[in-house]
Amino acid sequence: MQASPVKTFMLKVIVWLPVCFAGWYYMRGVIGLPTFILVDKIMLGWLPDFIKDIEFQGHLLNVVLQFAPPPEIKVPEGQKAELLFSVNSLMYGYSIPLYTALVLATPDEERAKWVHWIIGLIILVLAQTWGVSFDILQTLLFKLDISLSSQLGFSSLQKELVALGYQFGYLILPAVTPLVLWIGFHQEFLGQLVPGMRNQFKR
Amino acid sequence: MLRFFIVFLAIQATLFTAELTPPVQKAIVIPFTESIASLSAWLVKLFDSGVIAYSNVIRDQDSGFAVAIEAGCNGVEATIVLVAAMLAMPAPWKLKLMGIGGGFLAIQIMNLLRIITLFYLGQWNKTAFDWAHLYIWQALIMLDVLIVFLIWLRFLPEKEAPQGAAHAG
Repeated sequence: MQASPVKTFMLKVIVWLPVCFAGWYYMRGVIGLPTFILVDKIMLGWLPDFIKDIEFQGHLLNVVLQFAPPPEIKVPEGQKAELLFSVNSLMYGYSIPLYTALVLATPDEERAKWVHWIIGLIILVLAQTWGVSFDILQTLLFKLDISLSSQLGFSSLQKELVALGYQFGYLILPAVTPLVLWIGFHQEFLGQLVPGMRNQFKR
Repeated sequence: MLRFFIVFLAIQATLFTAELTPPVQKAIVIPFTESIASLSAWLVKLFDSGVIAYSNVIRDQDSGFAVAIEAGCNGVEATIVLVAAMLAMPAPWKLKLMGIGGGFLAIQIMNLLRIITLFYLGQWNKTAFDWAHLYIWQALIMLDVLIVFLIWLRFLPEKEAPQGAAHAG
């Protein structure tokens, strides 16, 4: 008796998943580097008067803020107050081991696997950058004291959009992107898993 | 395929934005999340009597450990993804509705398993809880969505290949 192709494929994914998660976690300092560089460029370029520095520490992005202190905080004259908070970049990057497991479990030529994986990785890094950037923004806008967050000068609509962007980057992007990429890159294999699939999509 | 992705992303963005609006939160998401918490507590009580649930929280009375079921933990977003994928697929409405119903059940069963395992993992080890909560279960729930979608696709009636495609190659 032959096992269902969907079942066989999923068993392979389940076998690859812990391996990919372990590799992803132990390589987090390297895998997370492109996201850090992008977030650093975007946020420091956009809010240079508010964000003094972003440091990359393992999987944490430590954001150092500088701002005109409110009256109740005393700092030496001419100096600004500083505040630090951290963002866990892995929360937005679990899509990478999931996508890697899906690619490894799919029968394909070695070269095609590498190409799909690298293109996928670039897109997932962009999705992770979205998530981390909006996490920083929502912290600045909604978790800091109003006297500080108001210094950013965001309108109500902009705040709403940041809230939506944050939720989208946390709840949807890391979950959906690997599946969309996998389906997009493996239509041939999908046709084997699901007979008649190619005709379904031809419309 | 392009049409599928465009429709899928449009439906998903619409449903997700609607989910975040206060009226939908108040009328559907919050009561649903609370019912998930109650159902989880009821299931846990079948083998562990020291558990109580209130609002969206499940608490162990002995250790005081509690988990709150928040957005992202109620399976709503995973359901939205599956619904968007099934609606975007050219298929008979009866099959779409059956797929959405069956998929919703499959996601919620998996989600109950997630909540219960996280509840006990958290009492055992905080690091294991964080790992399972933030990364592992997120990936497993999406795999569940993918499995349901692939199985559902196998039930769709085969469409004839477009004219010309039969002659290709």
